[in-house]
Amino acid sequence: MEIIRCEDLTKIYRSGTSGVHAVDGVSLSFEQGSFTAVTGKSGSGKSTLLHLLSGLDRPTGGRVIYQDNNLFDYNDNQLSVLRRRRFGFVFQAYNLVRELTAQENILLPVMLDGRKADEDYLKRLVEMLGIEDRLGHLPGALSGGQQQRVCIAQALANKPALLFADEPTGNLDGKTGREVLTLMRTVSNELGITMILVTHDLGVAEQADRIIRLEDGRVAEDSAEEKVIG
Amino acid sequence: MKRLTINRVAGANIRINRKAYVSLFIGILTAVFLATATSLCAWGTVRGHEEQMAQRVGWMDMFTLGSDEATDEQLRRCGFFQEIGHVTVAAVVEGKPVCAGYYDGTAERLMNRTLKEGRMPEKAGEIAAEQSALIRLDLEEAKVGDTLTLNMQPVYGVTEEKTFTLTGILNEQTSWLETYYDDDEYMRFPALLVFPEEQFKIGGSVVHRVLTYAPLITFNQVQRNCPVRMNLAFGVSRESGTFVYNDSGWDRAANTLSRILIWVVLGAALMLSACVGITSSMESLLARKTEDIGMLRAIGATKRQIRRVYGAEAWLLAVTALPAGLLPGVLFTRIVSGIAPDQVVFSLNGWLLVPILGLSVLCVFVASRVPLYHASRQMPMGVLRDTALLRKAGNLHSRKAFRPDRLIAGRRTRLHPLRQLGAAGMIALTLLSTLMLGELAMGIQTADDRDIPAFRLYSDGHSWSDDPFSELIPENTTDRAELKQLNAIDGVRQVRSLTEISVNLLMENVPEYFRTRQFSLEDEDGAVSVFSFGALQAIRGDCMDWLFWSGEDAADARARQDEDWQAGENIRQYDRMRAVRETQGISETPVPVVMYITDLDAAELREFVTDGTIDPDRLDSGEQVLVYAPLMGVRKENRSYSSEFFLKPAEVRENEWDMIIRNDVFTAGTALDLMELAGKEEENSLLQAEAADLKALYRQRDAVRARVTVGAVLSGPVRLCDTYMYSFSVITTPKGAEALGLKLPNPEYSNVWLDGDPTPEKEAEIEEKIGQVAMRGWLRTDNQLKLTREYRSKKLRQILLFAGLILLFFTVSVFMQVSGTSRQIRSETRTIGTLRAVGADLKTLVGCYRLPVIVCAAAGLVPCLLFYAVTEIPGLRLFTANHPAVMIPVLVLMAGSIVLACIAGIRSRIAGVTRQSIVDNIREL
Repeated sequence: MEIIRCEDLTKIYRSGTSGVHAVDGVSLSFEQGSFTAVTGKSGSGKSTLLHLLSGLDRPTGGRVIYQDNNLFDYNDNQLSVLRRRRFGFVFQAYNLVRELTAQENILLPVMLDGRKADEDYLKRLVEMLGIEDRLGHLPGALSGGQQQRVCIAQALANKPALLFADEPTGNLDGKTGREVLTLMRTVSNELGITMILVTHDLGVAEQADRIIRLEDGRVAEDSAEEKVIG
Repeated sequence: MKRLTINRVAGANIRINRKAYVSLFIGILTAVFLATATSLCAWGTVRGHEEQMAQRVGWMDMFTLGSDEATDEQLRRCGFFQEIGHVTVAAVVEGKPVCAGYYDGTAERLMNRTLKEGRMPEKAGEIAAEQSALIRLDLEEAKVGDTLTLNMQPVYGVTEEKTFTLTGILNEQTSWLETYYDDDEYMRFPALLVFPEEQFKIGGSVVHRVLTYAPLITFNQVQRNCPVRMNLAFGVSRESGTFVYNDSGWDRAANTLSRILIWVVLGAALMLSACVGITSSMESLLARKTEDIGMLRAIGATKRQIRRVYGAEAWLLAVTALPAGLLPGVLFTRIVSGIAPDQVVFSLNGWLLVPILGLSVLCVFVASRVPLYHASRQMPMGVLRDTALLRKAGNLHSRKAFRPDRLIAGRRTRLHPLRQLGAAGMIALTLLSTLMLGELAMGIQTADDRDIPAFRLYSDGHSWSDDPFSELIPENTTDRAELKQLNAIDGVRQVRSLTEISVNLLMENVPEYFRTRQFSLEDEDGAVSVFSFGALQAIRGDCMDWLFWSGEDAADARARQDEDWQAGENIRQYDRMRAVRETQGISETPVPVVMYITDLDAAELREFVTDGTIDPDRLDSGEQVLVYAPLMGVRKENRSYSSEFFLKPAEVRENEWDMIIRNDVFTAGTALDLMELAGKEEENSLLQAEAADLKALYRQRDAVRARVTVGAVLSGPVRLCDTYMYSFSVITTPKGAEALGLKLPNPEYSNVWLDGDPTPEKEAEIEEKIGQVAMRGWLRTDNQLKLTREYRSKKLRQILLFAGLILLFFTVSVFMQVSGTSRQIRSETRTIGTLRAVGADLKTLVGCYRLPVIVCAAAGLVPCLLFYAVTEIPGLRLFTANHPAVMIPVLVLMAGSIVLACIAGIRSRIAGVTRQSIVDNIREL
């Protein structure tokens, strides 16, 4: 069952009189519970595509349909509610609030929604991520890997329908990167979360159900289509 | 190749990035403009007052009357004086208190005599006169060019009739310089100027000296330390434009400071805002150079070198801004001077460049210090900043349930408590100004409630005497009949006069109510002063201990009189009292009390009656009098004291007062034996004489005895003829005094009330007519309408000033707060992006910055409320007009308005950030 799709999605970055097509007429559909890896060279538009799909950025043209509604018809507040209830994000750089502890950062989306935290779920989550003894520390006191795990826990804290991850292992060493990815995969599978992951690491991409390769902002290769053709 | 210097690097930086430096240049330009305008306006204000005073009393610092005790040579050699001029009194007009004379060159310059019209005398037979002198000579109609015939009497000479041509009318001056030593008509400055060659047949002249001090000399120093003895020497106050007995120079300095305080406060506040502007521009300029500074630090530049490189840019801009800011500052002062030429005189002086440069340099130095310090502390790798945060955080208690905006804001406030200190100080200043404005605004309202007489006429010490037991009847003052003429002036509603005399209350036993009580106060230097209080304070002399003396007390005081000045004074009064008893053949003690004679308004006084009733008929018949027997509380207050007059004993809170003085003697129906001893002024000199002569003096006095009963007793803050009463007094009407056979001097005070508010022309006309009556009798006139107008306009100016200051402080507070938070928002764009990514809306984001604003406003409000509470404690009371029930809500409202304005500003900044996409926010760094 389809959970999200984009139609003719375009993003042009203007520079003086010329424009750069970061994403150029991309149309894709994602199944619920699937794990998709978006790959491509640097500058191929994979991060931009992820940002557009998740509503973090506005497109120059095209639509992103989530639950039969175009994301970009929502106003800012509606998008905020959607982000804290249905979407989760993991960024390459560990975006955490400096003044909040790891635990508070993890709880942030739940608290923003004014809900009570599911303590058992969160306990299991942090145990799976191996950060239970680091919860009372500020981000500055955590290593890169620990911060990234906190980010993943934050993204999964509200049990999202969709998890967007932008090079989540980019700043980690190979072993830690693999561990983190396995964790994300495990949790997503358990909760039936749809995961869209951007990476330029083919080793990482190979773990996905579906691999989309972008080139100059266009889909150059989509393993799902090949399967259909095959 | 040119050598690379820091200035060249800074200059090149500015040339390349001109646009980036515009706001810093404007900030520095504003500072220079404000320094120039403030300095010139303050100087202009000082000059404006000086010129007003020079018009009145010239440029002299001191004068002596009759210069027979020292020679010019002695005065020059003593080193206390710089210039000495001579004023020669050639003659007086016979029978009139007006003298004629001339000046030498120095005196002419120092006296600064100016003309209303016409010219100075240029040959014998010509004369110039002050208008008041012409009035006193009954020549008020005389015009320039008229011939005046005057009976002139030279000093110790023979009167001769002389004819002069009136060549000019002088501006008023001599009346400001009249002293209490002018019983002899020659001991005053000439109000008639004649040509120095004017010949009088027989007689001498008197020469007065006018002097200026050597640098740093004051009148008090001359009095204390000048080796040359001068008997009748008087200082000239540049503050009041009159003569003074005491002038340490501090009053002048303090008054000058208070006069320029407006400019100092306004200038300081505006320059502070310019400083904030410079700091803010520089912070933002240096924020853009973070990477450059990090790079410089990484290649080994020291903190000092960083400060020098970027500090040089500010100084180079200051050098350019200086001439550009000077010119508008000068123009501004010229405009202010054009609007208020009396208050601010436009005057350029090379020395003014010193404060202008000083203030500008100080402003740039102070304002650039903070951003330069921050920039130089930057670590080569910005990420290390979090180490500082972790150090500050210590052990945080991690929350499991929270409101994200409140938690983030609370953490920030906890982790950076001093971030908003400057803004909190500015908010406190805003609130303190609000407090002052409230006091002024409510004060002006209170002052308006009184029915103030339009004109007040008063004599100026012409009946001065040291004797508490007898009354002197001076001549040459305006009598009641003449004052009645004032009633005939069109527009005058009512004229009420007050005569003040000293009478003796003959008492078998002097009541304790009259006993003087004392307490001592220690000043800042530890010196102890003793203050005396009592219900009885005669119009002349101090509180009267000696009334209660036994023979032993008197013998004891007599033994101590050589070393104890007060004992000497008391024994002299005691001897006088004995002389009165002996000469008047009385066994009772004569207690000198003040008696007021005035046209009473019974209805007006009724609220102050504590016993009996006011019966005007029985007062007029001399059968009854009123007594004012005050109920007083006295307490020490802040190294001084304060006193209050109460109506009823129930009003007095005993624990609030150190001393309470109660009337337990006088009630309605109490019989009073009054005795007046009256005489002529010439006998005054006998008062310094020995006991035998004192008896001769009191025998010469006319004694009037009368027995009256007290009709009503008054207490509380009673005003008679717009004069507050301050000690036990007997009160009757002019008819009552006449019925009692009392001999009265002419009224001391007369108040004139008008029908409604006159037009300016009508007021001038009435003032001229009143002035003519007053001047004939040597009375001075205060135009209270004008004084009230001046008072109100001064208060309004102050209110406007404070309102302006509040607006300014309010704006600066909001600006400081918003710009500080904006800087923070700029540096935290990524955090904002992160919060948005996890679903934070605009309200939540604003909430993250709201708490520090509220904390900052509270940090400004709390000290202000504490200060207000402290100043409400009896003894430390500072604000008298405003009321806490009004002021506290106003202060809270003001602090609330600042918070709302700040939050609105912050909201708009955050909205600006959220207009960008989250991706842009996160990519920011």
